[in-house]
Amino acid sequence: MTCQTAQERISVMLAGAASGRERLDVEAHTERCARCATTLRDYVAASVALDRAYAPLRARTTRLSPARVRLAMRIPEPVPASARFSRITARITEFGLAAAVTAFAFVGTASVTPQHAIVDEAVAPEAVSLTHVTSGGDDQYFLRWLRLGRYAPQADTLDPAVSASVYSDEAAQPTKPERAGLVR
Amino acid sequence: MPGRQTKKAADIEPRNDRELVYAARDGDMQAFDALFYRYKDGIFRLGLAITKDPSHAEEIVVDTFTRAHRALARLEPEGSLRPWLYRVAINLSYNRRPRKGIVLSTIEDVTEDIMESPASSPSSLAELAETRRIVLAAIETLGPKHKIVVVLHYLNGLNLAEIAQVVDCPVGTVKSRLHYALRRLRTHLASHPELGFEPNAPLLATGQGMPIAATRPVTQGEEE
Repeated sequence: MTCQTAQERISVMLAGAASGRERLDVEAHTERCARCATTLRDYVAASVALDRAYAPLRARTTRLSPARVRLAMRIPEPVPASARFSRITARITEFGLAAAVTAFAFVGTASVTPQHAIVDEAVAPEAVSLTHVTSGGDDQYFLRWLRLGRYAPQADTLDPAVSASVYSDEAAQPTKPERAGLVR
Repeated sequence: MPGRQTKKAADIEPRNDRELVYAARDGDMQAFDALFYRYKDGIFRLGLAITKDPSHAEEIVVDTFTRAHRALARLEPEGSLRPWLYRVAINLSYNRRPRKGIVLSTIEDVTEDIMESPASSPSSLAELAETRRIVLAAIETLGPKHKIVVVLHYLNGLNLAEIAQVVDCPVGTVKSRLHYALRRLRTHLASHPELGFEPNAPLLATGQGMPIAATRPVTQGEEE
């Protein structure tokens, strides 16, 4: 083996790529050749120095995430399965809440409308019958008149006892025009 | 945290690179993420060793995987995707203008040395840092072809066959480049007598066994 070949094989040996036979050949040559033995020693030292010089760099890592790549390529982030499930649940909840609010609004409006009808009927001029306006002057009687005024067209469906007492009161007391004017 | 969970999932990813590339080609972004987590640190170190700038190195990682994503349709890795990724990263690193005056041994490296060997004296730590500075400066004197072989072997832990795949040349060429780099390094270090390199002195104990195990680079394992 020549010195040139031995020195090339030393590098291969240090790289961990030499076979057992090649290693034995190099060792045998360096035992005979002081120059190549010196080269071997210095190559080993240089290799160790390189290994130590790069040791801190081998421990370096980066905290980069694949999101940076997607951001650079303008690719939208994938949604994990758990997030998809929670998103569906959120949609269902939203829809349920909207339906509940709509139903509440509809039912509430339906229950309030007859009260407006009572007031409208009571205030409407054509619904007011002067024969029902009495001269008592007390508010209780006036409210009672409002109820009866609403049901006046269906007077035959009223309780006979109540209707009898009411009509008897109306018959006993004369109509006060000024009261009707106050209503108007 | 979802990011940490994704990283753990990538660490235990049983699929090889070829399967991951095919899955990513079909739109499986988790497969692409697994490839990213498998090779990002190695590419980062490679970019850091060449550009000496961490922010540049991170940009190189992003650019490398951006190109990988665009090339998914035509990628056909026989075994590992690493040679292709490293080749792209090397080209991107050398296309960037390196900043002058940046030294790789930062304050974090010195702190790490102190933490690893608390019994070491300040003088020995300073000596170690000086040796590291001289060696890194010697590497900078090498040409790009020789430097990349040194970086891939001693920093990234690739063997000669893997380096040959990355630089796309025969293994014999890699051997000769590594030999040339070691010879240049030896000459450079010999100009610093405080390091103990005496190329012309005869070796006294020639019968000693060679510390091969001590000279092989320690691989980190996360990218193997």
